[in-house]
Amino acid sequence: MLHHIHPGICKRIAIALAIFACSLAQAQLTNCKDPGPPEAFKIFVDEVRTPADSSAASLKVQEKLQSIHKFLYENLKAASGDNASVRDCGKRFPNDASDFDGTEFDGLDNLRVVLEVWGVLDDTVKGSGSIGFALVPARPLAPPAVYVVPSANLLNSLRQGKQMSAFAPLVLGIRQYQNRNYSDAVLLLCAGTQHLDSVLHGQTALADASFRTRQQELMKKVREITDSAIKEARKAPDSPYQVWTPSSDGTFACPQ
Amino acid sequence: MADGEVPHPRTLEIHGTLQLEPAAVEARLKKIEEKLDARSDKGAWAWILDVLKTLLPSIVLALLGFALKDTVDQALREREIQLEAVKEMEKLVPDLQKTDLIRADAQAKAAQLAAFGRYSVPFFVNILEVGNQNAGVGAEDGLRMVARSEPAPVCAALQTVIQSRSGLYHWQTHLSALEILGQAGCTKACRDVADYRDHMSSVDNYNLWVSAPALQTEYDKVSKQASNTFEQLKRVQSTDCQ
Repeated sequence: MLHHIHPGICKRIAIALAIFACSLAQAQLTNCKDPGPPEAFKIFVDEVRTPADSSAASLKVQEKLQSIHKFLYENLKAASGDNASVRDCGKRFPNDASDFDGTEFDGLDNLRVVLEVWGVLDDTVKGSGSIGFALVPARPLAPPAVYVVPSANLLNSLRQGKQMSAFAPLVLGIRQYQNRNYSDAVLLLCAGTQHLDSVLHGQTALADASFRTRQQELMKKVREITDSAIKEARKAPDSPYQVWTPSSDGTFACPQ
Repeated sequence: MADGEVPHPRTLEIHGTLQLEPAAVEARLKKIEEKLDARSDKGAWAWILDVLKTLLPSIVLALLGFALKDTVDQALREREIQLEAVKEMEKLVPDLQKTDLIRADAQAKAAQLAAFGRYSVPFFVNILEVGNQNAGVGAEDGLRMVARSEPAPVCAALQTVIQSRSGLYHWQTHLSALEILGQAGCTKACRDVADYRDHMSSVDNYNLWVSAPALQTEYDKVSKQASNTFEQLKRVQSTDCQ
């Protein structure tokens, strides 16, 4: 059929295909199967996999993966409340943290996705593995804003609840701050900071020096914007934050 | 006088002159003949003119038709190619919209579509508006690819996007349009970009231009892009940007 169209068009198609054949080894993220309503903030929950091909795993392992996915989904739902819509993204899964490049972050940001989460079950017997987080609004603050939190037992960590979902209120707080909704931002930033501290003090996480350093960098930035958010929120008449007192250096922080 | 007496004829004397001028008569006759000759000549011209008047529109039409034939043939051929291209592209567009498509595949599909040149531009603009995440990335790439060989249709289509203030497009489509206008060096859009940047003024005002309300961060992003695009175009050709 193509030969009826235009002699140049077939040639162009061939050239274009040749150019893009070289780039096929790039980012492997598919679209989220259910990206949700365009107006809401969203949290994407990707697949939980084993390092090997998950589809070939035994029924028991499959069930375990499903349980981890379910816990992750429910935890994030509880942590974000009415502030975000948690979406099950089906088979979407990053091959590597580097899949979250600038283009991917821009795409997620334009869809109002604040957080994307995925899981890897390394040891199906012991249950050890890691949960990955892409913190979309944190990208300008602490690039690349992708964190992989290791856990000796994924299911146990998720059962404990708040630790693994600490990033949800944090990113929502950052986004509210960026949107200049300072009062809403303070509450979420404080909740996120508190939860994240417990992640930072987890034994497995502490063993990873680079993870700890990057987390501390993020926390430093979060404290800065929390101080700024409190100062801005205090300007509103009848603000509940007017009763908060600054520390000796004049900065504000969340109450312990 | 007695009866039967025949009266004598009376002599009637007439006084006057009979002037006969043969030369003048001849001259008048000649004049009449000349006039008659002239009238017969003029009649032939008038007849020719009458025929010409009747035929002139047909002659002009024939000449115009001859002159336009090539152009019309070309336009028809162009239309034929466009329709065939659209038929081919219709097969590719659903592939680009598949949920399980990774970004690289979306870009490859977009490259196939971009091979149709200017005919693919409306498809890409529509994908920017309604497509999923990876399809959107592919559409942007496709528009850049077409702009490398045929910048005019890409510039014109994206200029129309940023000229729209009636909520026809999402803010995301405006953002992509601004970005590609700058990258493709669409200097004719420079004044529109400057106007866009200067009249956004606030997020509340901007939300009247787009189909779904933008948040403050999104407004900031579009505003920053409008400024960047203007600077890019000014670098390419500053005269169009004054």
